[in-house]
Amino acid sequence: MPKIIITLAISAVLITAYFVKNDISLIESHTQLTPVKSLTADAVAPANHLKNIATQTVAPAKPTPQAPKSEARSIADTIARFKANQDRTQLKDSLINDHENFKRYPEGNAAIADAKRDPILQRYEVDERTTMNEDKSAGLTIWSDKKFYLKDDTVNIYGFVQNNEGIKLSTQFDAQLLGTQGQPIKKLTFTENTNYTYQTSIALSEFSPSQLNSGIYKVLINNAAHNITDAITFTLTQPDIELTGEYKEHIDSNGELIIEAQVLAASASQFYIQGSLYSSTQVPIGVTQSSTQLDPGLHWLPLKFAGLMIKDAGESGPYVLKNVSLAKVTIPMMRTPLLQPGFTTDSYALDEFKL
Amino acid sequence: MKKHIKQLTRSVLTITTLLGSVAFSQSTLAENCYIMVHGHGTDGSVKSSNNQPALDYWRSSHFSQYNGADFLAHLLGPNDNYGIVGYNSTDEAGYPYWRDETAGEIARQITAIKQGNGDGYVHDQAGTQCNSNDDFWVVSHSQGSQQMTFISGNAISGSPYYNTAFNANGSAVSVDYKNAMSGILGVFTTGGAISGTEGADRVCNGNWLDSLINAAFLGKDCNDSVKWMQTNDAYLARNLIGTNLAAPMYVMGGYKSFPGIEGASAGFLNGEDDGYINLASQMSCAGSPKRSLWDDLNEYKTFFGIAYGSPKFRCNNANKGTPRTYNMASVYTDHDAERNGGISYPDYTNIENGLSCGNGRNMAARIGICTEL
Repeated sequence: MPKIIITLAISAVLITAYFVKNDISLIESHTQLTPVKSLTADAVAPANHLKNIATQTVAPAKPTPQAPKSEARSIADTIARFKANQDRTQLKDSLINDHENFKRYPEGNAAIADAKRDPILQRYEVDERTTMNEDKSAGLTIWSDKKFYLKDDTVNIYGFVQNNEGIKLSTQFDAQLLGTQGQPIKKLTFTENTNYTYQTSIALSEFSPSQLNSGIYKVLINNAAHNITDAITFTLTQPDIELTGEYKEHIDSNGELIIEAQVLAASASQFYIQGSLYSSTQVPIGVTQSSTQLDPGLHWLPLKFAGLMIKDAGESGPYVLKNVSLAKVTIPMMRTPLLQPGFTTDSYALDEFKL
Repeated sequence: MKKHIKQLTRSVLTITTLLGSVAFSQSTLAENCYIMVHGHGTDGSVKSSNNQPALDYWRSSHFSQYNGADFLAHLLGPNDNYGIVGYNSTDEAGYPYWRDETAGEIARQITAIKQGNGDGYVHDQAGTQCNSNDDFWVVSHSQGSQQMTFISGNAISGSPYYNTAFNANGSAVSVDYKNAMSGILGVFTTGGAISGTEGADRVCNGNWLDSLINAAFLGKDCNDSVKWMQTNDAYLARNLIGTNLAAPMYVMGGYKSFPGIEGASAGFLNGEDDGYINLASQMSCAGSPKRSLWDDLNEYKTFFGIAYGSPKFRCNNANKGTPRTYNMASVYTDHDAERNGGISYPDYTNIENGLSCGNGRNMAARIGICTEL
């Protein structure tokens, strides 16, 4: 009997030691594969070839369909196996680093290393486009002052032509506003603004609602002198949601800073909010997001910033909700113009946020 | 007592052997499964024993120089498996990347492949259907990379189109992107139209030469599929995703023009390109997908086409237009050879944050070498 106990004890110690050493969990983590979920009632039927997978008579490469060897590994287990292998490739090193960074915060949170890389600002960054002619002797550069316009806004579009010495040229443009289906709406005239940079404007309020629905519009711009054509697109947006200017804040039991923004929804839809948090000294901390189905009316949308992300930034409160993007989730996405509410939280010490 | 010690020693040896087996099996049972997501111009909804367009995508060629080339022959090692994803990316169908017939279909097939029941295609290589406990990677080309950006960027709760695609009526359709991306270690993009292509701009703006677009994967008219592959910001997948991708994305770009007369297409594209897609889009650089990127992934001031001074933009890992996106390689390969491995040992350019595993090999072999077990 004692030898059985000793044997079992040694076995237990060795087995435990093995799994601990290799960072292998005996229970799959929450990131493991879950069973295939049925599509909800509003889902369309799978395409025909998916049905074919079940019914086709194509001979499989192996004699019989393969039975799964075991349950799927979780990403964490696989990364642990990569870590245990000292002879790993550069890609595996990169994966390990990425995994550690990604898992550091809740998956909807991301730290912002530099204000220029604030993903919200990137979404609103003006798209300055340069197109070269075929022999690369000249290039057309065009841009608009914004990406998203409301129905009473004015769209300002700029352009210039440069030669291959980088010198701007006196020139002319042919331009046309095209509708959401590519139909011509209006010819546009560019006039010189400054230093051979040319401008045209579109006052959206001049059009009736039936002429301009929300959607993606294109301004086709041609420079015949150098045989160059390119286009600017902009979104005439109808987000059906706005910030009311009311906010609430608290630190929840998980140590997250929760800022709730009150919104007024004008229609029932899925809405998306993304917000970036900065210190009061304008040091960027991080970004978070949420997506919610709302009915018309007033609602509170939570923005959850991980305590660890705030701690990692090393910045004590108060904090500023600096950039916000709200959008009605349709195709195309109906974003509001960039919102900068400037809401400032109470003062918080870093140790009020949990790790 | 001596007998007890002997028995105890035997027990310990047995357990040690058992544990050794367990440890051995942990390292040897792992196999790679590459889930292949093709690009534009293939009706992957067709699948029969003698007609497998989605599989053939990776071993067919538009240019005769690459006849007989096979991406999978360069990709697969002795213990590697693969699963083919097929969706209808033809001009005739005209499905944009956010449709149920594209994103939804891809997601459902990724999920099915991960279950280890085979992809339903006849593999030339015996025993290469994926198992449910494999290490899963996605390999994408061209439009396939745009598709994966949308899927991966909406597989995290709180994302704008979380688990959502759209049907022909414009209605939202529930698709489990989260489940599809669960367990995916990484997404490789080869010649990815991540931020569209200037070729699509030119097709839609009416200034692309017809003679240059007879390759199916180029897009022949401005149908909705091509329309949503333009480089204008309003169409980009990166603007329809949330704060994070569900899996890291490793980008490889090509900068060789097409062989023969179709090499002229490169003259229509800004910066380096693979004959159809601007390098800045392939590498998911921040800012304009048409920026004049050189093969070292930098943008310079130029005088009569000659670069001078320090870079005014560097498309390193910190300057990506999509989250969790990493440079892998810049390879002297065109858009056709990217998907069929037609150039086995292409030249390459050292890039900031690039990965050296597989240096000197084509994109397929680089993936195989970098992921080897």
